[in-house]
This record gives sequence, structure tokens and C-alpha cells, in this order.
Amino acid sequence: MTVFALARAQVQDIVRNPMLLFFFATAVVMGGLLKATMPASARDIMASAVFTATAYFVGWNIPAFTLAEEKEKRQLEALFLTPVRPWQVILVKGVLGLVGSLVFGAFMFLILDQVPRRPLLWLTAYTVLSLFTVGLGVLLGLLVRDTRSLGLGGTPVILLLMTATTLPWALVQPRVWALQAWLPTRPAVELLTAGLTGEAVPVMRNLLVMLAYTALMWLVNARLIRRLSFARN
Amino acid sequence: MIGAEVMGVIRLIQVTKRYGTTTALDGVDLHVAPGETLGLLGPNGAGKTTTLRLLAGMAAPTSGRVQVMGVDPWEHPERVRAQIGVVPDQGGLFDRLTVGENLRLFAALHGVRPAEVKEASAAAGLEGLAGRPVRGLSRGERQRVALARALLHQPRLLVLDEPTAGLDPAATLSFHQLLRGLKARGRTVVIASHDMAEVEALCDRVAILDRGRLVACDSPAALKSRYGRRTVRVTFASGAAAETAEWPLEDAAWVEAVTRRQAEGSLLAVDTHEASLAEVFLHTTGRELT
Repeated sequence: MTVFALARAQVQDIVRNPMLLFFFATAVVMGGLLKATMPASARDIMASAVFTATAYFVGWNIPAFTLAEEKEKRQLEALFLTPVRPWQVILVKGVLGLVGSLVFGAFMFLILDQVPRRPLLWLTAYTVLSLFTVGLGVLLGLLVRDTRSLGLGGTPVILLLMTATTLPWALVQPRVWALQAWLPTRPAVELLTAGLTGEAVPVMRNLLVMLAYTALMWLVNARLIRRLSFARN
Repeated sequence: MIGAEVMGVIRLIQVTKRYGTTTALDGVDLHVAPGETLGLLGPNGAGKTTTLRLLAGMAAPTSGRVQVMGVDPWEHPERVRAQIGVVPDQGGLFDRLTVGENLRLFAALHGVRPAEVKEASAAAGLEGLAGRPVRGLSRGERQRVALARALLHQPRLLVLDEPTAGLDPAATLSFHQLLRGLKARGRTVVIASHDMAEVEALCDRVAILDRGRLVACDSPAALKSRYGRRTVRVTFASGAAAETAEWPLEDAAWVEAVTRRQAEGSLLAVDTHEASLAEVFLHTTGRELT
């Protein structure tokens, strides 16, 4: 009951946020431009970058922005004056971030007019990446004080993680590229590309690397969530 | 919870709260009886909001004991929050949701029936506002929504932090009427405010806080009688102008002056002047409440 009421209110709040329309329009324009301008040979690589971007922007934005805004407007404080538990608030934001990311990802398939060669691999990779980005969003949302500090502190983190893993570092510095195989995001990008093109990649290794970072992120979050409420409940 | 009526709704025993090196509350003792309306009066930083946060279980005392209906709010926040409604200084409403959506959300979180939403809306004078987004409401309307939200679960204790700060006179009057209605229905109310007129108009007792210390606590009349000075003002004609002289009520000199001026035919008026809470505040803290 509590979780459903929270989820309903959160969805109502998100869909009325003008930022959502901005993201939606940006994604459509970005996807449309790529489809129109990219040569067929580069489309799969660029599609992976687009999917990485949607997983990041939707996955981290929903929990991070809603947490920062609710702190700023003292809405979280009002929630915690009811019997609601901090983990219930985070669960709702996490699930909505994951679902939002998956829905946006599916929508981008329509825009890009892509058909994945290995759909299950793509879905697995995208889900794991979304779980990571949602975890990152929750972490940032828990750490920041308001939307301003989220903009100042959170955006560079996201941009760094994304650009460091989606730009073609392999062409510039192969050692960096090799190192990135053990850092978050690039393993997921490789899996996404493999899901689209059908090329062979170390699936288990990449999945385990991403799952390890995701689990670590959520373990840190679990510790911070307990400190979110003012009381020890 | 047993014996809460006997123990009082609120009991603070030698409560101190420190934030780092800052002492927000310093050895405060306070008792609030059922059905009573208590005003916490003091300037910013006096410890009013800290007191309210302790009552709602939003902070733990550094030392001393806090009890709300016989329960420690920090140790058992869920038990206390079932009995307490809080109207914070910033409403904490979801401004992209409508009034009705906000109230239904909090009703569900408190586990109360949707019918209670109607009752709380009516108690806060929100008829006709249910479908309006909160972001389009005036500050006075938002405060009424926050009040309705605090009343959803029928709390025995209502806690309000600067409830009319920033409201225009009409909205303030309307909010005061709502609070009087709640008081008439036997609800225990604690109001933190730096508005002396508000506290005097609404509260049975006033607790004056200054730099974290409780410097006085009694009914407004008793405080004024103890710390304030009742005076007599005698206005008399002096040539073409009117002059005023003032004496303490207990000083017999004013009787002499009135008798003399009356005999001279120059007496124009005799007024008694009641002490104000501002004077009480000045007397108890040594400074004015700004």
C-alpha cells in the first residue's frame, strides 16, 4: 500500500516535470540525427553510445533529481514524518529509474530503426547498465543537498563516466582501452554493441565486472539509506 | 502511552541539544497538558524549531529526556508520529501534484481511509481546492494544505513551526480561526512563533526561549503581571497643548496628580496601560524581539 501510493505520486510528479519533455525531445532529435547522418557502417557503434546515454540520463536522473529536489523542498522530511521507511522511498525511485530507462531504451529502437542480432544479450546488458546507473543516481541523490549541488557535483561524474567509456579511446591509447575493460560502463557498452551486431565478446567477464560494480554501489547505498531518515527506524 | 493524561502530552526534562559547538537548547524543562495550546516565543536561533524537532523525533537530545504522550520520540518515532501532526515552516508539499493528490498520498502513508481526507480538508478550509496543483496556490492556501495533511491521521498533538510567517493579514486571520477551531475540539497545540500578537491571541501559555534557555513560561496574563508594568497615563491641558504624565499603577502619586488636575480643571483623560508581551520579552531576555 505504502509503496504503491509512493510510486503513484512519484509517477504523477515525474510526468508533470517539464524536464521529462526536454529529455524526450533531446533523445528523439539525437536519435533522428544519428539515423539520418551516420553511415551504415558506424550505426551500430553509435547506437551503443545512444543506448549508453539513455541508460545514464534516465537511470541516474530519476533517483538523483527526485532525491535532490525532495531534500531541497523538504518533501523527504514530510514523508519521514509518516510511517514510511527510507528504503521504501529508495525502492520506488530505483524501480522507476529502471523501468524508465528500459522504456526509453525500447523507444530508441523505434527511432534508430535498429534490430538487435542478439536481443537477449542486449536486454541483459542494458538492464545491468541501468541497474548501475540507477544505483549511481541513488548514491548521488543521497550525497547531495539540493538540485544545485547535484548539478555542480553530479553532472561532471556522469559526463566523466560516459565520455571516458564511449569515446573511441582504443584509437588513441590502447592501454587506456585495456584498463577500461575493468572499469564500469565499458564492459556494458561492449555487451550492448555485441547485442546489436552479434559480434563475439567476453560476455561472462563483462557481465561480472558490471555486476560487481553494481553490487558495490548498492551496498554503499544501503549504508547511506539508513542515514537518510532522521530517526533510527 | 499509559498515564499520558496524568503525565501531560509533552514533557521535557533538563533537555539540552548541541549541534557541534552550538548549544541550541540548554537544560529546558517544559510540560504541556492535554488540550492546552502552548506558544514557543523567541527570535531566530532561540531554540524553537529545535524543540519542535525533538518532539517529532526528528532529532535526539544531547542530554535530558523528551516524552510525548509518555513515549520517547527518538527511540519510538513511529509510535509518536501516529499521535502527532506537524506543520513545518516550509510545507514540504509536492508542488506538481494537486491538493487532493498530496492529501491522498499522505493518507495512504498514514494508513487512513480516504474519507479522512475529506474531513481533514474541511477542517482546514480547503473545499474547492482539491483539484488545483499546489504550485498555483498562495502561501496561505499552502499552509492550509500542510495543516490538512497534519490532521489526516487525527493526531492528538499538533505542532506548528511559524505557521503564519509570510502570510497577509487576511490569511493570518483565517489560519488563526482554524487553529481556534482545533483548540475548541480539545486538540493539544504547540506553536513556535516570533509573532507576539499571534502567540498572545492563540495560546494558553507562552514559553519564552532565548539562546536555547527557557527564561519564562506561564499564561500571557500571568507573564505580563509578573514581568510587565501596568501604568496610569494622565493627560492634562498645559496652555494650548496637551501633556501626558505616566506612573506605575501601584504608585499613589498618580491619584494625587489626578485630584490636583481635576481641581485645576486641566484634566483631559486618565488611561491605564497594560503591559505587552514585548515588554515581558524585554524584561526576561534584556533585549527586544525583532
